[in-house]
Amino acid sequence: MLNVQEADVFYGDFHVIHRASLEVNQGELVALIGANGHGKSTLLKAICGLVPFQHGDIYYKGESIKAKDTTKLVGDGLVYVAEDRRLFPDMTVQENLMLGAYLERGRRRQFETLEHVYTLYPRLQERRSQLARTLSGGETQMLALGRGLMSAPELIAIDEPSLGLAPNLVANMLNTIKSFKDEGLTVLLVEQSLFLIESFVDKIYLLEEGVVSLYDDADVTKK
Amino acid sequence: MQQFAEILSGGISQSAVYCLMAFGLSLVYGTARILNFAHGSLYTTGAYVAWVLTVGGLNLPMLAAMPLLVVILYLFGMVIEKTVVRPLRSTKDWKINTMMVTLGLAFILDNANSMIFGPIGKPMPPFFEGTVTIFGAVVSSHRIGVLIIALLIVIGLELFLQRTPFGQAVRAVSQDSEGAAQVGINANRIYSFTFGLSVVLTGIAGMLLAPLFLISPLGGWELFLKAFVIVVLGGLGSTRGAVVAAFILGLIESVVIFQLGASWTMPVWLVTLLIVLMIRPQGLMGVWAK
Repeated sequence: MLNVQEADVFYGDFHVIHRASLEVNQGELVALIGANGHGKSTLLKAICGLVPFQHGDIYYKGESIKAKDTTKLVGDGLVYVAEDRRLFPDMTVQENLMLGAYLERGRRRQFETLEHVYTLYPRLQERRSQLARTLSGGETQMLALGRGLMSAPELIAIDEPSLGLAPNLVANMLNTIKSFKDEGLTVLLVEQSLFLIESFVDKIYLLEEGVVSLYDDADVTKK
Repeated sequence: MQQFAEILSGGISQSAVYCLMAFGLSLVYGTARILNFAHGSLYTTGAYVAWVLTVGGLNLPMLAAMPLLVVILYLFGMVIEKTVVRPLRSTKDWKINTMMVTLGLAFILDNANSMIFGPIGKPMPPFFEGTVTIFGAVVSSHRIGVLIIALLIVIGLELFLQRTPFGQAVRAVSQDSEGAAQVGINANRIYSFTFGLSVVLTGIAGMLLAPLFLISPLGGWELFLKAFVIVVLGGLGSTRGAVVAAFILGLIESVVIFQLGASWTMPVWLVTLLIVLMIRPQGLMGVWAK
């Protein structure tokens, strides 16, 4: 479904990602792990069309994303959920969610999806008319994921969802992400460590100093 | 007292026109982060176009001229955004660059207007004849008409921004442009839309005030400066703040004109601005402290 082939990504003048290759198949939950500052977010943004890449190519559903902007990619079901949430602070929870369904793709089933998001996160339903800026860290993460779901993704790329969450919330949130997979979504998950995710991911890529390598595949399946 | 009531009612309709100008200036800053120095020259240009459509050439009735004016100005604004502003976006220091380019555009527009229409002011008849008496104050019907038109536009815009999906997208871009990109909003479309809309608003302001002042090539600068003070007082990028600030400063202006004379308006406005900014650096309804 997603195929990155020898992509180079620069952050300004800084060469962050060197010849990265990775593959995510339909229905898989793939993790990309690595320490802070090694370029995980940059690579994920390049995959989602938010920063340009040089050299190589990135294919989504068999087509190169080179000529497509984020709007097209979102409309095609490739949805990005940022580590810094990127919510609309002066809009209500529900307005934020509805904006997730801004494009035709999400709008077609917006009310069903909204209901689904509220079942997933009753907390968001309770706070639906509250401004996003007044939410707690855990709630903003729920809202960011919820808004991503509203776009009706086929592949959802989630950047460090555990960042800034209280430890007791992390397991919960990762369980929800696991449930995305069970519902048939393809997930590309970026995290700092394997802790808590190793047991349910299909494949793990390791990103070290801008170089991507496949983490021992067999080892994971055994567990 | 009666005289004061007259000046006050004049101040209110003046405020409503300031609203239109400041709304557009703030909207463009809020979404595209562009401070448009040509806003005043576009105000003048709008007034001239209205003049040509009505008494100055085509002799169209107001009801036919207004929609035509809106379309012309909207397209003009979109063209400016696409050709002059957008290409600079990818450059370094684009904020300063766009500021300078819009300033250059202002001079071009001023000179073009002066060449086409001459340096002598053009008179425009009021759209509504006669006077109305409110609480003993005699107010020209034109001013009341201006107030109603401007208020309807501002209310319409507010509803558009709050209730429609496209209006929500405009607000989304102004609150977090990266977040907006992530949900698939095409920011460029929003930028050209808000720029076009702001040119329409400032042009309509020019048309509405034309019967009260003559249309002259440099007449928009004073209004641009005023709109700028209003936008800063209201909070850069906040359209609601701009509306509130326009009425506060417009009423202050009418009192100042009555008590001290028109030339004291700007000094008093700036003192007001200073005091508010000392207490609230982000302006009345601004969300960013930056």
